[in-house]
Amino acid sequence: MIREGLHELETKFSRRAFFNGLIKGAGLVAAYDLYGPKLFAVGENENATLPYQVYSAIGNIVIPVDDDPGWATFEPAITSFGVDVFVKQILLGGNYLAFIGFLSTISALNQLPLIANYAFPFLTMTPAMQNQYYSDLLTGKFENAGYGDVAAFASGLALLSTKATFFSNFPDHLAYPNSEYQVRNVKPFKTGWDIMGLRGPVGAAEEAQLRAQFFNAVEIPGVDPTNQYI
Amino acid sequence: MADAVYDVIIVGSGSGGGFLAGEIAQFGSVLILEAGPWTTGNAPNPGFGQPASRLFSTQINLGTYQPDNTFDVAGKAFFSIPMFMITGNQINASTQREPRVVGGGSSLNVGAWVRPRLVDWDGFVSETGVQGWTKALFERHYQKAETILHVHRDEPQNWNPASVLYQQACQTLGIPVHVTASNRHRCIFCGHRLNAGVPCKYDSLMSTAITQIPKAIKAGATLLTGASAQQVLIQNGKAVGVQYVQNGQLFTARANKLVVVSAGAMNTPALLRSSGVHLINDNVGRWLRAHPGVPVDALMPGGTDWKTDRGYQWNVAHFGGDPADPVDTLIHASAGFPANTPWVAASIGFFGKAYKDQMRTFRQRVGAYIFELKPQNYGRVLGDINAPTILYPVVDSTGVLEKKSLNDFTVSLRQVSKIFQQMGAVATYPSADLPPDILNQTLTTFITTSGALHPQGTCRAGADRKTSVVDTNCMSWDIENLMCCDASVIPNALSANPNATIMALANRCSEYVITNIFGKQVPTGPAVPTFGAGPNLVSVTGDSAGGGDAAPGVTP
Repeated sequence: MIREGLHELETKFSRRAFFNGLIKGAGLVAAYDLYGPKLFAVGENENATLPYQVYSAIGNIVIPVDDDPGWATFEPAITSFGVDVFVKQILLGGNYLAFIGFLSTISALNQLPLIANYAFPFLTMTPAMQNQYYSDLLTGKFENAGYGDVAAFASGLALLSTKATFFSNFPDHLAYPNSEYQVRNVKPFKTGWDIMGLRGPVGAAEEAQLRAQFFNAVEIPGVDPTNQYI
Repeated sequence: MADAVYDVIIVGSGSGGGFLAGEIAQFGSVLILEAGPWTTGNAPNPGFGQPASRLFSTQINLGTYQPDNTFDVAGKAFFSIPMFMITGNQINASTQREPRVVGGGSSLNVGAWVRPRLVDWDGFVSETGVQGWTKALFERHYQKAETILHVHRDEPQNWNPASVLYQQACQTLGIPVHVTASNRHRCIFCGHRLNAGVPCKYDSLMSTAITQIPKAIKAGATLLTGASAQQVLIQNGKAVGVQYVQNGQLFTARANKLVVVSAGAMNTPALLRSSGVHLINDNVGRWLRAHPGVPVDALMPGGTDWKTDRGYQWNVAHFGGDPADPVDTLIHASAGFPANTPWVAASIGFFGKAYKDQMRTFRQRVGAYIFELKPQNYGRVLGDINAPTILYPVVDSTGVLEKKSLNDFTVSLRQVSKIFQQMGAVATYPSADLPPDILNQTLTTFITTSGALHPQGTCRAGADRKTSVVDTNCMSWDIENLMCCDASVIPNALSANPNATIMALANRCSEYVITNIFGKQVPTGPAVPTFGAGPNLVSVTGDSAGGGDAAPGVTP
């Protein structure tokens, strides 16, 4: 059943286009630095918050608030973390040039609909229109339009990073400084871990139980002597 | 103020430098420079088995995806180096993360203790002609390190249930599977690193920060934390000291006898580049080998407690491919909550409620991790110690994965899928059934976003300075009194997580230092285990290790 589901989703949102966009788009970010502002009429200093607004909107599409919390539940911190930490430092390795390229390209996603006959900029679309537009981006509808690779790069990176940020237990992904236990606070909302069905770190009582269990665990010294390869 | 003078200065306190320090500190004055902090702000380690010792673990309280080089929780800091893996693409980098913390890489690794394959030893000779790097001659060094670190295997009753099933499935399919040794003694799989999938080392002996470094300090060594080496001072062709920055000030420490650079396979060449060594030996920073990795997740049927809510356990491992013709991959069966789940979550190309429903419906996940051991390419470390950069072109400019890697991963992925199917998996991802083009792209995306692990070989040992940086004893060909002691000297790619070999190598280097630098005799007799006796587990203040094996409420 899941195979069928995956197959259905595969046909709906082409992973080939997604990965293709990531690879090709990465190389095109440099080109965007030169031609992007002319192409999409987005200046470097036009609106410093624009890329964050676009990223936030994509987060809302990718992780909606439905039966349980979504991206919007953790705003604005999750957008800040997603862009400034996850994209910049994890995915782009702290590469400043690449990060500027990402900000520029994701800003361009707001203007792109105007030259692709969507009538409205991305941020002023209705949620249903935004969803359709973003799906079109990921399925590579713009591949032959000359700017599809740049758009696919930003939209693909946004997809990757919003999912990874949310499902890494944001905002409880870091423990408190100097705390002996990584305690999960009682909170009124679920995190990505809750949705994934993970219990999270142990508390003091369970730790004591685990220590009792493992303290006298039988161990066999040394390495596996049956390993004929070593 | 006069510069401080020591017999030996060691840059780095990880698997190489930390282990070496523990063995040589009793023979002379030793300074250990560590760029990162001691994780409790230099407070005395309360000792093995004490709850407060948790604070010494670098792996707890970190969560995942920490902001590199800016992250600071409980004094823990990490630093990442951009690794460019696509030929010609200097925009999109993976991150090669390294801990700048006492214990270095040994504080970050998962505690899997893997010896090299037999073919590796032949590879060392064929690569650089290095002499004396044989299995027979290294055996006692491994054994000593394994005694000190209490390397062991867990009994199957303590395995994760998926590991047991994985082993059984392999046996059914005729795949030789081996029990993974580890030095995470009494790890309780508490899940503190759940989201990164790595067990903490509350009671484990993985890190030199709680084994060899305290031993060195007890023997009189000086450990400076937050001391970032800037260059090795070289005068008249001889290493005479190290310049380092601490608290924003530049200091110089002098070394009478030896400077050891043990900053890891990325930072050691970077430091030598900052010191100008690359100008006289072009091999510095070249010949980088690494292990690109791909995680495989399987969705398992319900009705079984797969312990998906607890830490990562690598209980069994095997080499990929047919037993008669293994490909160059090492596969760790992870079981439990796989580290890669966030990546898998991120990679599946759909979103919205449909994805959440998948997460809710299929919580039963197990995983494996495939390391490609010997890609047919070399990388290179460029830049300097403050801004190192890695070029590791495992993907060509058209986005195609290096040919051998693609074959090795594909064969191994099919094998792992079969094993998971034998275990009853509902589905695996990435699937070996993907069309070839999409499989290539999927593997490429995983690799280029997660990086290549286990960097080695950037200051490799050899028989000739034309093809290597150090000689068989890890002494520089070009600079007198300069030694490299870490993964950078490994001449060819290991078929293993390198931690075990680095520590064995450090023990081998320690014998050279004791004999040839200090002019003393290497102590004879068996290595003293830390387990039980605890002489290697001492606090900074020199007290005993909190009762050795004692756990809270348990009388030793």
